[in-house]
Amino acid sequence: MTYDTPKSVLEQISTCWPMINNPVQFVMRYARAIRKYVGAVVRDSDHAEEVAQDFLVQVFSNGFCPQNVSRGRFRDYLKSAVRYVAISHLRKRRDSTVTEEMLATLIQPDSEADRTWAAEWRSCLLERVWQLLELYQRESSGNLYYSVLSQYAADSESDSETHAARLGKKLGHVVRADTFRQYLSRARRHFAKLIVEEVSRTLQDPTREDIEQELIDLELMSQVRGYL
Amino acid sequence: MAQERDIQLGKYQLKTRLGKGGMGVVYLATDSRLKRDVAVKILPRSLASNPVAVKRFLREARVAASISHPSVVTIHDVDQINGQCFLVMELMTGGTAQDLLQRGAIDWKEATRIIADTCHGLAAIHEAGLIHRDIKPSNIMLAPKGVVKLADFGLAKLTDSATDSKPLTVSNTILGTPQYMSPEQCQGDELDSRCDLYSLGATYFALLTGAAPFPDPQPLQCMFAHCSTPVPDPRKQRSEIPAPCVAVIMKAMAKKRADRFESAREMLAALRACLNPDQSVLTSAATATTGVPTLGPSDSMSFGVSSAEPWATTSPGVDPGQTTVVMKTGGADAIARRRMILAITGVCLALLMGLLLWSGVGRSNSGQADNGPSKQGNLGAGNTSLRPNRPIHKPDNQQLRLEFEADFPIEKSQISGVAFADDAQTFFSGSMDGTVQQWKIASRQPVRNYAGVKNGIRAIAAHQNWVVAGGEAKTVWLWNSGSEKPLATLSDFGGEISALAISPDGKRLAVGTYSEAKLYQLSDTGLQFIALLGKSTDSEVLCYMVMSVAFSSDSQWVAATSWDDKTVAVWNTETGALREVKRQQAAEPEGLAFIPHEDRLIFGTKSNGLYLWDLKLKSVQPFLTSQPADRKPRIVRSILATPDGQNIAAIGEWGGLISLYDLHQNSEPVESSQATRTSSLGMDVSADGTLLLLSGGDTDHGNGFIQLWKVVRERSE
Repeated sequence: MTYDTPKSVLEQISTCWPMINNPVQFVMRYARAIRKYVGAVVRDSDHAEEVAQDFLVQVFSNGFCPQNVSRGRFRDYLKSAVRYVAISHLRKRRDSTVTEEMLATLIQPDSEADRTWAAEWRSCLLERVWQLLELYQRESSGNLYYSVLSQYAADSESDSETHAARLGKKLGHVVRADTFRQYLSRARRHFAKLIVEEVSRTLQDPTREDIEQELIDLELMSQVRGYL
Repeated sequence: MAQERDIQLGKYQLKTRLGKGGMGVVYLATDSRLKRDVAVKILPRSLASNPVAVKRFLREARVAASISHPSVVTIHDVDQINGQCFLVMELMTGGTAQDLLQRGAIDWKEATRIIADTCHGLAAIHEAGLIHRDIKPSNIMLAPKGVVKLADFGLAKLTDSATDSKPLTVSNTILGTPQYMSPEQCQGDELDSRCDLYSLGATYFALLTGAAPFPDPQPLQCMFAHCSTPVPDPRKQRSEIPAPCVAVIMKAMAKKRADRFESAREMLAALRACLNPDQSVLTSAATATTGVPTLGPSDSMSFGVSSAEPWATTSPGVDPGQTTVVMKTGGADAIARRRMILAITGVCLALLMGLLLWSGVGRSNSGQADNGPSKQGNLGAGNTSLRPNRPIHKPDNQQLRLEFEADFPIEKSQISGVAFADDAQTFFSGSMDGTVQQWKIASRQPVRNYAGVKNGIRAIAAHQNWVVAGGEAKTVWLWNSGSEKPLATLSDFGGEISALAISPDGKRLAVGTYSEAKLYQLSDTGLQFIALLGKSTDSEVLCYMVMSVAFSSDSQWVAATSWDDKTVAVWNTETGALREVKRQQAAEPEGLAFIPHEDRLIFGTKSNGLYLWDLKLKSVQPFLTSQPADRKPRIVRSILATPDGQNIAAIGEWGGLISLYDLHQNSEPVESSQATRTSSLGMDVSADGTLLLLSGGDTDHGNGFIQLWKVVRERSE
């Protein structure tokens, strides 16, 4: 088994913006957040479906234009693009309930839809990181990062002795408490690395400060603070 | 079909174009030397000039040719002539599952049989280290007599386990069919075999309902739905679809890979359980996962002319009258069936002995009046309750059968242990969801929930009117079985409770935890501490991870297994004084049982070992000097000794298999797949010997089960 050296995870990542090269696949990774956001904006499941379809057609036809992205943050760009399609759709509805005042509230910062977007984006990102961690363990013989961290996440109140015993029972051999703590530390480090990598993929040429700010905005800093 | 005649390609004469896919055109052809009809897939010239396409095509041939399985289309040949790359494969004349779909939804039994057979082939593909990556109805080929075969490895990707070669992934190219693509394929992520299970689940959905789960004709919208929309309930389209089939789809199509079936074998077991409810443990496929398939596809159901035979390969031609070659090879399933029959016979024999014993005269250990069947207590083996022993006589001309009696509806959680009540009309279960329940066998429903329990239960025992349970909360609860309120609650343990046993005389309770072993006096007033038998540090016997505790049949001795120092130890139950200890066994000891009426005990280890410890001779010997060659290491979780000391039954983490050993012969065990698909953890037998309970589940995913078997005695002529 190999373990990460305790150098900064920021030193280990390569920055890129894969959604420019493959926007469809990247949109699919955050599909749930998009769907929830559209639902929060449009508030009608049928219309939300149409908005999502319109948005996808635009992505497939035109891709993304990095020049239009402010602050180099993909989630902001994506939110703007989705919102633009949604508002256009609402305007076309010619529905008396759709007023300019109502539409204006949608672009207000910290609107309910905005909060939904941020929460779902974070959820998608974390879910993705967990899946990457699980895949990493599956493909790395003897690796236990996913098992250890998921066990701990499910019950963070139990002590190391208890966790070690549970893990040992699962593995079929003795795991000491200090060994468990060691596993857990390494798992957390790798988890933090995956978070930072995933966050960095959503930023255009990010600096350390950009990444840290995004981690703060997504309330993920506590997960990676000790490893940056 | 387009007609393109008189094309000669080497020894193959191409006759009719059968179809066209992304990676080739398929022709009906005749092998002029072997005089047989075959299917020839030719890489289009436009692609033949593309080295990447050629490489993929040739790789397809190598991959496909490496697999020989009755549920996978056979590859006969691959060649390249005049710049034409082509593949020669078995001709399938029955169309595809997609053709069936054109006529609408398929009867659920036939759909399940088709998907199960496909899953059988898929398991072989995965076990060869391959990923198909394009499972869909049009790649499921049908042949006469209901044979189903998986085809088209055009998108197969060699995984690292098979080769170091890199996948031929074209940037910005989506490989696969959107209606059946997994979320990770849509997202361009690294794939593993679980993407095929998702696609197979989507295909199953389509066969059951007549339409794909996300039927949007626009690829992007369809992919978006795979990634973000919950899978619809197929019963909204066809209400008659059984719930277990729906559960299989939901599990296979989980958005998160970790929530899907772990392997095609697991999914196959769940599918077969849908078809064979009498053989299944679980009523919901959401609780069906690992294990050894109990029956081959041919056993599943019969549809149309005949059911698919897993060992049948056909070499069909366009002439309906052409001879069909059928080759029987036996195969693992047939062997498993034979084993199962043998094992059931063996298990029944053991249980008969127990039955005779328990229904015999006297109750020497307890001193109770002989006023009917009465449970005498637990003789050991962790969560396994054992019956008191009595001399028995094996009657002549008797045959036993073990009949599956019932599943008990379990929501999900692992069932750590089961224990019959004395009257065998009810039993008790402990679950990792933190419930201790009493079940009524007649109604198959829980009749009582015992209160006060916190966190998961890992061990349970019952005797006379007592029920005792413990687990994650490092607490032991004692109830009078007729009252839901605990009679006593003990929380003075350093580790989670892992094993419990009540002595046959009903006066002692042994508690094993992850960090100690303790002995208590059991009385109407509750529990009174007698002795600390051992603990994880600073102790003569290091008791770390005590996996089993057991009492001798005379209640004089108590034994425990501990992982620390790989220890088995025996103490006096009156004083708690250590009698003997054996350290550094071959592997961590697990299940444990005293041999009734003897000064010997038998224990199992996590690496499949079984050892006999003669306390008088102070020697530990391997019980079996030879093991089946194909046996993989596995954990002997619990052991049940028959009261006459003739046989022991062992269960563990090998998919519900029961191993039955003859203590007096150094021979391979009789083994049986008991139709469970998860680890067996607990077992118990009713006092009258007519019923056998098994319980278990998965550590991670729950998938709990309780299974009741009926022991049937028959006199043979």
